[in-house]
Amino acid sequence: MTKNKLHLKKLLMTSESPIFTIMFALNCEAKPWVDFYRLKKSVDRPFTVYTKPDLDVEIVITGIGASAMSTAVGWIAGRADSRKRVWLNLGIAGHLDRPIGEPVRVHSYIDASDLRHNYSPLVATWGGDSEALLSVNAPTNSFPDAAMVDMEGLAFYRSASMFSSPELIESIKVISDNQEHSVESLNATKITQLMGAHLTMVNRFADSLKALGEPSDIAVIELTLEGVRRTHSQQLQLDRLLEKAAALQLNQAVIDLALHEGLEFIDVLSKLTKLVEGSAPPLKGAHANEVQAAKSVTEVNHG
Amino acid sequence: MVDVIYIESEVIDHPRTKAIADRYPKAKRIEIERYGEIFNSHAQNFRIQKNNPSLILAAKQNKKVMPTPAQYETGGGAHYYFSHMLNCVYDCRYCFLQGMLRSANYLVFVNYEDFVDEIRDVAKNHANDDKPAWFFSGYDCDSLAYEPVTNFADFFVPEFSSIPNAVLELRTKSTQIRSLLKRPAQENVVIAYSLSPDRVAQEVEIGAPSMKKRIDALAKLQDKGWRIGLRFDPVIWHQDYLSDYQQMIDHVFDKLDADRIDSVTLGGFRLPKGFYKTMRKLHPEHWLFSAGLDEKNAMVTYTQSIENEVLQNVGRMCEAHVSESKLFAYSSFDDESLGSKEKEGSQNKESSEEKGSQQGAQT
Repeated sequence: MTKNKLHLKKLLMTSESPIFTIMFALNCEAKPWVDFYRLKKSVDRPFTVYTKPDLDVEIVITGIGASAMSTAVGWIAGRADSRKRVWLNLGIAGHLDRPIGEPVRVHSYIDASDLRHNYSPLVATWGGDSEALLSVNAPTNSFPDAAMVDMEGLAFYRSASMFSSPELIESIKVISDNQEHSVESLNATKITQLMGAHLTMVNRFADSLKALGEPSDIAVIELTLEGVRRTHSQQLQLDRLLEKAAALQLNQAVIDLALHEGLEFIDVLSKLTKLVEGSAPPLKGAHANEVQAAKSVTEVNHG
Repeated sequence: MVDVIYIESEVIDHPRTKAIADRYPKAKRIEIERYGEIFNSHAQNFRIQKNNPSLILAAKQNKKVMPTPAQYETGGGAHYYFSHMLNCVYDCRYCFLQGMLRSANYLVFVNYEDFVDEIRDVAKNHANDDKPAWFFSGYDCDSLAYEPVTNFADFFVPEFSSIPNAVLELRTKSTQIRSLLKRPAQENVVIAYSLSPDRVAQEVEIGAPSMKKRIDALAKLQDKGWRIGLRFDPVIWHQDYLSDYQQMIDHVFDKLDADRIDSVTLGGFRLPKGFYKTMRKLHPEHWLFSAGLDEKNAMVTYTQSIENEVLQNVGRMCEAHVSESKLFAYSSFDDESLGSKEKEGSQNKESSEEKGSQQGAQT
């Protein structure tokens, strides 16, 4: 059997902070947030994307309508950064009698084809009211009794649900037109004003939403094995053992074991198995030290 | 605190709906057709929802009282369970609900009267039995933790006074016992408390009252003449489990009159494999899902040697205080390995253990 070359390479956080993706149909809706986060246009086509280095926020301008929204969600989710996403759709909507400028959370998305509600779990904390949202195919001045009206909401929710838990997908709509103020009276400047008036309130909500997507605090040692033949099943076994060792606060013991001279891969598996299965868990107290111990080892080579 | 209340159209005018919803005057009320529209859809995430659960008020349709699995009905007497609520205000790491449900929202069935009608019908079928029929609450929720909102015990306990051949077991970790203390003790009601050493409870029974508070509640109930039970289930294996459990058990029996305790039961950590996988995915960082476990017959349990060790050791600690006839232990390994004490216990275990033994632990 090949002598092992165990590389105790790095601390691997099993989960990373999520990306906060805000979807807007129009540039004028997005402007207050682009300015607030000081984002720069980083992609122009097929959709405009605003980002900033070292900031986990991205703004996507999708264009009007369900098809554009669905495509944009799929496109951005499929880009190279495969981190988990927290999704927020911000935009304007019409309503029969809600006052112009009121920000309203969406609590269900109505499919115009069958009028069925798609309820989204409401976990993040919102300081305002909520309402159902009916998504239609064209601008309208005809409003249902108890729902806002827009053109992208349902497509956003359904598409984003393909990539994230529904708890991490939310929409806030600002009422832009009602039976007394028609949609024709709107222009880009007015829309930016309507949206920007709620920057603070929406950002507070965004903080609550982002917090839901934060990962578990677990530090797992990654052992890389160069030139060591092993089956896929053995690799899975090793991964599982390392994860369990981390949960049992045995990272330091794993480090000691990996530094031991002359071990074959099969010995490593066997010793790790014994280590994990024979260890009664300690209760809290040592955990912080354990994470620290793992963090202090950034790269140790042995082989 | 509840931010959102979903209410089924069918119960929107039910007096209990109004009473419960009025407890949260600031909550957003959303009318729905059926609770399935919001509760437990496939892609939901229990752990995320646990951050801020919504309340759902609905009517329980179809069967409301279920028999416990037949293979566990070895101790005589018929055993049933019913659930007026799904989910719990506590967040116990070992609770099987996290593995069974996708939603952490509190689902309360407000049609209590329909539950009682069915319980009466079921009890009638056992009118000639030697032993009373046992009705167990606390399987899918904590029986008392939400009492100030639901008035569950306040309604059901007096109803059982007119069903003499039935026993109601309320399983709980809660100190919400006001509704019990205000009425005379009832012979056919048992209040069973799940107990863990404080150091364990702090890490696996998040949000539940401290051991001291639970024991204080037990003492008050016992003083008032209520039948009480103790549930050390699951016994949690950890580095200092011997001293932690010894300390707790000494404290429990110092505060309670052992002669007037109805029963004491023990069980190991156990979950159906599918539930375990889901729960570990939700909490990969927690040691509970990595410590001393084995898989057998589609169940994940402590290894046989660990389970034997913890049940026998904690069992012995209990024997120092309570008679053998009141002590029951459930083994995940049936009769394969336990000593005579545990074998005897497994043949006489109570309804709560019977149900729990299939799915894992709850309250």
